[in-house]
Amino acid sequence: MFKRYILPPLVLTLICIAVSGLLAAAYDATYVDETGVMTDKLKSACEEAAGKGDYEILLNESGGKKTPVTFGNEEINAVITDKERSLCLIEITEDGYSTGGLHFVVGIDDEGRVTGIGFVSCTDTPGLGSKVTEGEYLKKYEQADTKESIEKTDNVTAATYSSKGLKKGIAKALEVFNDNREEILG
Amino acid sequence: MSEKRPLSQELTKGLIKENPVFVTLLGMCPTLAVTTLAKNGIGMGLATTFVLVCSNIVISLLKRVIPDAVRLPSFIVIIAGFVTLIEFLMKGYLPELYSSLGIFLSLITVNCIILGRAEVFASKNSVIASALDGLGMGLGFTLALFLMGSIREIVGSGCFWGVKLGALANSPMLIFIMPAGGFFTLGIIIAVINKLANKKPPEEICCEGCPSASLCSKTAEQKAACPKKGEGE
Repeated sequence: MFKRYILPPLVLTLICIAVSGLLAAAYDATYVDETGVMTDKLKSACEEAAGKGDYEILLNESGGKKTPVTFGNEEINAVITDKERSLCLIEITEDGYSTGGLHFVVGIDDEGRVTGIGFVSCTDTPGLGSKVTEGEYLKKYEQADTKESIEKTDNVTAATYSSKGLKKGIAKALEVFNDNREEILG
Repeated sequence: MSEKRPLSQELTKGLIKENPVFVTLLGMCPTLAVTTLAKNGIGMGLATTFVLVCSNIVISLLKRVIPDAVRLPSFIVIIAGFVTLIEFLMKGYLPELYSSLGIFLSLITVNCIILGRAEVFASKNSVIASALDGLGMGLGFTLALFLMGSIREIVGSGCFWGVKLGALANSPMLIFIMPAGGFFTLGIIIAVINKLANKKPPEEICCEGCPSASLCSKTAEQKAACPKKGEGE
């Protein structure tokens, strides 16, 4: 009776408890909260998009907890500003060929024109989708200030999904900047 | 109990002779999906090796404690625990590789190589032999993924480890980094290995149990001469 009905579920439960306990300890040991932190990669993406500067992530503070300002948009990770140069940089994660495959920063000047784009990471197909991260292609979006001017830019051959994802992200960044210009640049 | 071999053989058998990818054709999902870059192949291979070694050790230690009725769920829980652990470590220390491997990192849990070695080997052998078996199979898997990734990256992207390779980089054969290229590369490597190992297909396929036997063009005499199941070789 004990061996047949009680022992097996008991052993399985004990194994589950031991594994869960070890994982909880491992999670605590490895988790790093990067909310509102300017990581090296994010900083280098910002510099690619708008040159060297004094960048700062806009944060909301409620109940003692700091969260990046996103103006209610899921695709936007953070809004970064360089107050001295009146620049805004919007960090976005968009779907390319793979879900959330494009993670980049769009630099926008105080007149609402794109100053440049810098990639934090791209997990789309190497050699195909990854071509949208090349500087030569990204230069085509500089000075764009409307959705129409972004749409006019050619897609990268054989990387249609990645190109569309990039365009969608840039258009979203411009829209968010134009809707919240005062709040962003103060 | 499985056949006893020297410990050195437990380590080396998985590298070539019983290579999990090229010989036993296990773990095909990550093999075909993540090998667009050599770096991804190495990353996935080493993550799988870590899980294989750790799960083999723990399962071998607990083999007398785990009742038969809950053997498989217990193995899966142990394997899933180590997979989650490697996910935490990779997310914390190698975030780029973590993003590249994507869902396939979590899917190591259901990789047939790991459950297969746990069930066939670790649950019946000593801790040291199980650890060496896991290490050997893991390194064999890593070697296979690295080979696939290198070929696909060089031919399909014209690069190796991110470094552009002259003329190849100007006109790469993009099909090699597409899903079809994965099958193509795997087929070529297996064909080369079979040629080098001088493996031959069976000369006669048995008629017994063949669903097309009634439609077959073989004459009655030819069918009668066909070896029965379990005969021959």
